[in-house]
Formats: sequence, C-alpha cells, structure tokens
Amino acid sequence: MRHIYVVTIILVIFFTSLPAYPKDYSNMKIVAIEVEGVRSVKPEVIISLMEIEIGQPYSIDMIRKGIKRTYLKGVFEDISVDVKEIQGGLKLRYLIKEKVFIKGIDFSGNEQVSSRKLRDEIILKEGDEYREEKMNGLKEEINAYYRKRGYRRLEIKINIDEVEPYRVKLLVNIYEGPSTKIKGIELKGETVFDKNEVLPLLEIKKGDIFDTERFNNGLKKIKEFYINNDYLIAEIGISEIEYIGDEVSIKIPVNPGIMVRVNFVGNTVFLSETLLKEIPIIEDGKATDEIIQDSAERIEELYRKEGYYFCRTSVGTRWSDDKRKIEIDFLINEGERLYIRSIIFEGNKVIDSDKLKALMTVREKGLFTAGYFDDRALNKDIEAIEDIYRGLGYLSAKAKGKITFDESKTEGYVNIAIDEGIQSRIDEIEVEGNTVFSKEEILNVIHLKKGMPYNDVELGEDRYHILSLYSRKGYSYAEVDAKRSFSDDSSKAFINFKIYEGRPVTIGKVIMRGNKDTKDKIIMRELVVKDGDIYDQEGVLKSIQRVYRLGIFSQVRFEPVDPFSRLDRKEMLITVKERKAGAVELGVGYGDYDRFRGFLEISYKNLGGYNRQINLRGEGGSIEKKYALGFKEPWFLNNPIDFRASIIKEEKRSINIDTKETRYETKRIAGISGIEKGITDTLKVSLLYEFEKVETFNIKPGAILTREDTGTSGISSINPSIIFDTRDDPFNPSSGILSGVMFKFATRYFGSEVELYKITFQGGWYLKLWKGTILAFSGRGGLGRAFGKTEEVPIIERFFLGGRTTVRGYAQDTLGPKGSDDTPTGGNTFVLLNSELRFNFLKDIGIVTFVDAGNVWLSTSPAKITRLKYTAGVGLRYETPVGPLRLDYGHKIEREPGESRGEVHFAIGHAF
Amino acid sequence: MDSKKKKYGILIFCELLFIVLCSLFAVSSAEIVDRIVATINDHVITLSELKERSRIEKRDEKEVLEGIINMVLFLSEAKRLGLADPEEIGTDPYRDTNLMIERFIGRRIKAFILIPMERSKDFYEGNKEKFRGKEFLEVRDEINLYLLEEETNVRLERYLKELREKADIKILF
Repeated sequence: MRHIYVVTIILVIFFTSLPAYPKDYSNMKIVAIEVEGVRSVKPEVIISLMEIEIGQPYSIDMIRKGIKRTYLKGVFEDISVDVKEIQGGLKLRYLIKEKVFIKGIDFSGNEQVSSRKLRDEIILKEGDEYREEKMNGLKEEINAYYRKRGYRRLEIKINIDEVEPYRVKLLVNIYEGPSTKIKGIELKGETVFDKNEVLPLLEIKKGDIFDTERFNNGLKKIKEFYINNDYLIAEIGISEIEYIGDEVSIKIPVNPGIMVRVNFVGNTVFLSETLLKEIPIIEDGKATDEIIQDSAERIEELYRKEGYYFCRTSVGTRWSDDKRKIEIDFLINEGERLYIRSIIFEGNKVIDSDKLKALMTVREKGLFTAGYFDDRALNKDIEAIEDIYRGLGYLSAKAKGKITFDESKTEGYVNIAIDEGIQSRIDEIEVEGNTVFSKEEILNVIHLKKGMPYNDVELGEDRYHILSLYSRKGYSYAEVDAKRSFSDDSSKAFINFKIYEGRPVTIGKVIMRGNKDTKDKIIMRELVVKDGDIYDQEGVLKSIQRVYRLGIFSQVRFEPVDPFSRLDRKEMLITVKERKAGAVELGVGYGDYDRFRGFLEISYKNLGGYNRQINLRGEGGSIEKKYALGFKEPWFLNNPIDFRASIIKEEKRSINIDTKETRYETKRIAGISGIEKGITDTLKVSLLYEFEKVETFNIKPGAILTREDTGTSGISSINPSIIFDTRDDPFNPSSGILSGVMFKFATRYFGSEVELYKITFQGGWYLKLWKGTILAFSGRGGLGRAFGKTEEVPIIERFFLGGRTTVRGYAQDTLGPKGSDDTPTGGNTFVLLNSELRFNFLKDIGIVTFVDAGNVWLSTSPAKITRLKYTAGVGLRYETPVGPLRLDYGHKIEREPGESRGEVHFAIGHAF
Repeated sequence: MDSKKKKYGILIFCELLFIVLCSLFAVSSAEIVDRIVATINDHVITLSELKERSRIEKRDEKEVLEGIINMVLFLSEAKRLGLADPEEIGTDPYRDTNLMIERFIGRRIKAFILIPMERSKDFYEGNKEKFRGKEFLEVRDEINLYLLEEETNVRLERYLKELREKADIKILF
C-alpha cells in the first residue's frame, strides 16, 4: 500500500513538472495562429512581421527572429509566444503588451518658471515612452533648473492620467518653496581695486534671489573689468558658496596677478584692440617669454596675410621694481605692402600661362584685383598647379615659385618654374573577375578611356563607378581593386580593375516604425524597393525622397536593421517622425488693386492616417471674398493619381483702379473635381470637371457685349491640362522651365447653359546668369470662343490684361478693347510676353528691370491680332518665405493721348 | 482479501485516471516557448536564447543575462566606432564576437594605458617577497603586464558603466 502512495507521488511530480521543460516541437506543423493584446496595428501586421504562415513547420529560431523583428516596430514592450498542441498540429499564440506613450506633460504650481521653459529643460517629451523609472530623472531635471534659479526646496509630485489606452498625461505638480536669498558677497584675496568698485559689476547683490546664471554672467564682467584695467592675467576662482537655511553666503576668490600693460607702437594698418585680441596672453593667462615671443609671431602673420611681407615685430619688456607690473612693447615695423607686378611662368608647354594664372588665388595687381603678395597662398597655388598637371597625366610634374622685388620693396615679381615631365596616356584597361557585367558594360561606366591622359583621382572615382554599377544590381559587397602601372619611360599607363563580385543581396522584411497615426501602407506604397527586391542603394534613397514628399514626416530613415552584417537578405527598418498634420495659417497683405486683404486657412494633411488632405480657406479684401473647401486623395483607387474635389464660393468686384468705380460684379459658386497624375517628376497632366453657377451684375453698360454677360448662367465644363515644370523653386525660381497648356470646354451636352472653349498656353524660362542675377522670360497666350447658341464668351470668361502680373505700365485689366463709355470689355484672344532681369544685391533685397508686351483682342482671327503694347520698368524686391514683396513701376513706351505715363504696383510674389 | 483487492483496484484505477489526466493536462496546456527578457536599445534578448546560453555556459540565467547585455553594448559600440569587421559578424550575435571585443578593448582601452615606471617600482617594493629576491629589471615586464591587465579591468568597468548609463536597458526577467 505504502509503495503505491510513493509511486503515485513520484508520478504526480513527474507529470506535473512536464510543462517546465520546453518540449521540442521542431518540425510540427503550425495549424493556427492567434494574436492577442495588440491595439496599434492589425494582428495581420504582427503575423507578417513574424514571417509565420499556417502550414509551416515550427522552429524556435523562427519564433525568436520574429520577436526581434516585431520589437523593432517600436510600439511593443513585451511579446511572448505560447504553443499548444491541437488536432493536426500546433497553435501559436502571440501575446503582445504595448508600450505606454506620453500624450502630454502639464505643469501646475510653477509660478517662477513658465511651463514652456520647463518643457524645454526636460529631456522627456510628448510622444516618448512612459516608464515609471524615468520619473525620478524627470524630477531631478526640474529640480536642477530650479536650483539654478535660486529655489532649493522644491517639492514635485507626478501624477499619471490615462487619457486613452496606452496613452498617459503626466501631471507635474510643483511646490516651489521659498527662494534662496543672498546673505552676503565677499571678494577674497582682492588687493588692487576697492570691493565697492568690483562687486556692483555682478549686478546681483545682498537680498537678491541667488540665480546662478545671473551670478556667473556677473563673474565674466568682473574678469572683463580686470582685463580692461591691464590685469590681463587676473584669475577669478571658483566661488565658495555656503548655504545657511534659505540664505547663501558667497566668497569670490580673486587673484589679480601682475599688471600687464601691452603697448603697440608703429601700427597703422590694424587697431591696437585688434592686435590685442590676436595675442595669446589673455587666453593662456600667462605672460612668459615664450608667450610674448609667440604673440610677436602672430602679429607678423596677421600682417603677412594682408600683403605686408616685410613686416617685422620686436618686443621689449619692462618690469617695475617690485615686479608687480610688466609693460610689453610690441614695436611694429609694418613695412610697405608688397604688390605683385607680374606672375611669369617658365617651362609650361601644355597649359598656357593665362590659364595657370586663372587657377591661382595670388593675383597680379590690377583694376579689379588687390594683387598683394601672400607667401602662404602662393605655396598653395603651387600645389594646385602640380595637381592640375597630375590630372592631365603629368604625374612627375614639379613647380617652384620664387619672388623678387624692386628696390622700394613695394612691387614683386613672381616667377614659377614648371618642369612638366612626361605625360602618361592610358594604353590599356583590363578588367578581371567580372561575370555579372561584360567588360564593355564596365568600360562604359568608367570615365578613363584608352588614349586619355592618366590621373590618380579619376582612377579612384572610376573604382566607385564600378562599385556603384554592382550596387545597383544588389552586389553590395562587391570589391574592386584598381591598380596602375607605367611603361619604362612613363608615357604609357596600364590600368587593371580586379573585381570581387561577392553575392547579390536582396531586401528582406521592411519594418516600419514611428508612424503612430499614418497607416503602414501609405509608406509602403511609396517605396521603390520592397521585400524580395535586389538591394539597390539608389532605390533606397529614392524611396526616402518619395516618403519625405508626402509632407507628413519631418524625418525619414530607411536602412538595414543591421548595416554591419553581411547577410544575403537585409531586413530593412524605415523610421519616420510624424510632423503635426494640422495647420492654421493666417496672413494679411496689401496690394495696389485690391488694397488690404487677408486669409485664414485650416488644413489637415493626414486624414485617418491615409495622407488624405482637407483644407478650408477663407480670404477676402475690399473687392473680393472667397471661401473654399478642398479635399485631396493622393492614391485614387489604389493608383498613384491625385483625386481632388473642391467647393468654392466667391464674390468679386472688378473696379477702375483710379476712380474706384465698379465695372461689374460677380457671384460664383463652383464645384470642381478631377484627377491629376504626375507622369514624371516634372510632367503633370490633369483632368477636371467644373460646374459653376455665375451671376454677373452691376455691369457698366459699356462693358456689355451680349446678353450672356448679365444675369445667372451655369457653366459645366471639362478642363484638361498638361504642365511641364523643372523650376528649382516655385516661389522664387532661379533655373528651369514652366510651360503648359490648359483647355476649357463647356457644352450643353454637359448641361452647360453657356457653350464655349478656351485654350491657354504658358511658357516660362529662368536662367541664372551669375550669382544673384537671374534672367526670366515668359510667354502666355489664350484664345476663347463661344459656339452653339452662345453669341459671345461671357465677361467672366473673357481675358483681361494690364496690371501687376501682366503688362505693368497699365492699370489692372485696362488693356484691350473698350466699350462706348471707355470701360474695358476684355477680349477673346490675348498675347503676353514678359522679360525680367532680377538682381539680388543684398541678402533679401533685390532690384528688377523688366519689359512687358501684350494685348487683348475681341477677334480670334490672326489677321486682326496686331500691335502689342509695350512697357518697361524697374522694381524693388524684398524676399519673404512665400515669394518676394514687390514694388514695380511700369512705364508705357507708346502712350496714347489721355493715358498716364505709367503705373505703380505693390504686390506679393513674382509677376511670372 | 477481496475488499483489499477491491481497495487496490480502486486505488490503481484512481492512479491511472490521475496519471492520464495529468498527462492530458501536460499535453494540452499552452506552453510559453519564447518571450522578451531584456531589451538594450533596439536589441532584444529572448527567453529561448537566454536558456540556451545558460545551458552552454552552465551558469545562472541572471548572470548570463548580465553578460549578454555587456556583450551587446560592446558590440554595438565597436560597430559605431568602425572597429567591427562585417566579415566577422554572422547571423548569430554570440558567435565569433570574442575576437572583435578583444580588438575593441585593445584599441579603445589598452592602447591608452601607460604604466609609469614609478608605479611598477612601487608595486615591486610593496610585493618584494613575491619575487623571491629577483631584481626589479628582471621582473619589470611581468609587473607591467599585470598592472596593465589590472588597469584595463578598472577602465573596462568604468567604460561599461558609461555605456550602460547611455543605453536604454529594460529587463523584464
């Protein structure tokens, strides 16, 4: 009986202890996968990161790698995996514990320090992971800052408010306590100046709060005081600070040292203050013989840099009897400035002297060149000349420079003797070890060719070109040895590239991190290299650019998880930092035509984490009011096509700028939707449908051409367009082209009450002539025609020219045909040409000269399109982030009787 | 006798039933096969690899974990400073890393240690009896080597402390 009990106990112990020893599930089939506890991503994301599929055999190595990979996502604190045997195989269960993040930090009780300042002082920021053990560090940071400000008895309590699951707000309550007041300040060891003369320099006194920042600034002022009074090597020691309750006693040790008076004699080129800054006595806090001698050398060096080649400095020192004072006299014989009269080359056959001179920084004295001699600059020029020769294959080229002077030692003659040596030309290029690329393909990517002069720098660059070729095919570990040898007489160079191709590398799993609001797929679809692709560094960089271009991230990194390991499959980590998706913009402006105007725009760039954009904008001024609600989906139906939709409400008044008389008024409500596709980085096409209800009223009788000009009409149109834009900056271009064609077609078949078509062309060309000078051309033209039952293009669709962005010698919209009462009617055809020369002569200020030509005609017949109106003018520019603020005066070249001489315009942004 | 037999029968039946239930329980209950036990910045140490190392090194898991953390810190520092040869880093972070760490210690720590003659002499004077009447010059190299190792260990500990302070280490063990 007893035996049975013993056996039972042993068996119980044996079986119950079974789970403590991991069972070997190797190669058992996984038949079910469960994910629990995950909130920030979908369970499928976890399964994908784990790289586990149903039907796969179990392996602990695979589980381990999956945990490590998934952790890199940055939002999980713990991941545990359990296994259960079920019918047919194993069930894996992933238990995820997410990290808790800080949603905000609120301070209370802080009266002496603003919450903003405290947020700047602490390391922990909104969006960081919340960890209890970090709270003491946070308290210590706050304490340290308060201590600096004179508060030593701080009490801090941090409460945690869970505002949503896994998101907490830190509520930091501060009891500042009493401040530490200064009980007394003493100078210790001071004998030269009266303490009443020195202590006020601290700008902090008995009874004040002991603010260490203010106190340290005061100490600097004391040091300056001593220097200014010839105590150049005075020492202000570490202050002795004694706290007594809420008061503090301070002793400042001061050792004024000996008095060091420095005199400069003979200096006319540099001020004594400038020379004093050059000498190291103050910096080193010593006035030893070595330092004094070093000071003299530094002074000479300063002079030589400015062309005073013959400057000599001698030093004299005088000690007082009690050895408490030293006077140092720097006697400077500046000599004459040495100018270079001529630079003569000898022995140069391959490069002519003018070209060599152009390469040098040392120049002959001339109308536009100072031309003074600097021996160190000459030595650098000589090295540069030798480098140029080496670049041309003259590997043994030597240059020697010499200067001779005239009797007055004011003019020098630089002679540079060049021994060119023999040029080495490439006789043969060998490639070894290549199997992935043919020799021809490799020779195509390198710059050195047979027959070309040989040079080492190009050889090094070509080695990189070959590496880059291999890298594009995924051979990231390829190595290239570039060797060169020469014929006996050095005239022939032989190049050998030995390639070790290695293995191709592919992209592994791409793990995304930092995208707290943005969905993974929004980033994933921008990547040009994906799981399984060849590892191509260019593709990686291009992917980074594309993700940046979404405009919702302030930081994007895309790199291998372990850049140091040589794995054939590189797992990649893409780390992003989201920027605030919402923005409120507010602006006011002033223009000559519309006077004061302002706008308010509220936008959100990452609706639902899908990079969908929505914006609401209201703008208005004395003649116009506009409200617009816009929406943009950057991937329409899962294709990289922009879908845009907007609703606009607009009220506008066209006025005569001189008399302020109203020409006509319009009310417009429009709905626009359509698609836009970037074919390349510079070419964009779009197709928009627009329906607008336009009411035109209060029209001056002279401007009315047909009945369509008045009343309400519904215009339903399609608007295809194509734009080619290579400008470097849309607000302030300095190079590139902007050209395009826009078409508008409205017909009753689309439900339009007005039938018309309009075609508009534009072409702009920007060229940087030299630094700060840009030449800009623009040509624009348009044609509009009514058809069907519509007699004329209605006034709202007609073209108007004249004003700040068109022909600047004319007032706004005044060019072209006019009605019986001299009111401009607008036209059906226009041609506009502009040219500008833009000079930027100060950092943000520039001037512009321009010529504008253009006109508007009612007729669309080419025969009747004659006589452009020309104006020329000048303008001032002041750069702002959204383009220049500009003031232009345009002068009419062919003024008609009764017309003004010209017009002044004030606006923001370039005219074209 | 029969009642005894009956008793035995019941007992054996209960026993078997218990064993079967225990076996069933052992087989059908879920078993944790792996989880995170520590993180050092982005590096994760899992339970399975800790157990594996502990079995190989025949040491307590806590001790092994500390060793792994130190190794991870050294390795990432070596990589950061370009002292890691990618050829030596395989898929297993614990394999073939000794050489790299040795080199790292040599270049970053040992290379900066200079044992002054006075210190060697002081050591000789203080431990004269251990050198059994040998002259200082005879044992100087031996002393220098000993002091170098001693100083390396001190600096290594200090360096490791700094690395640990800078790193984000979380132990969930």
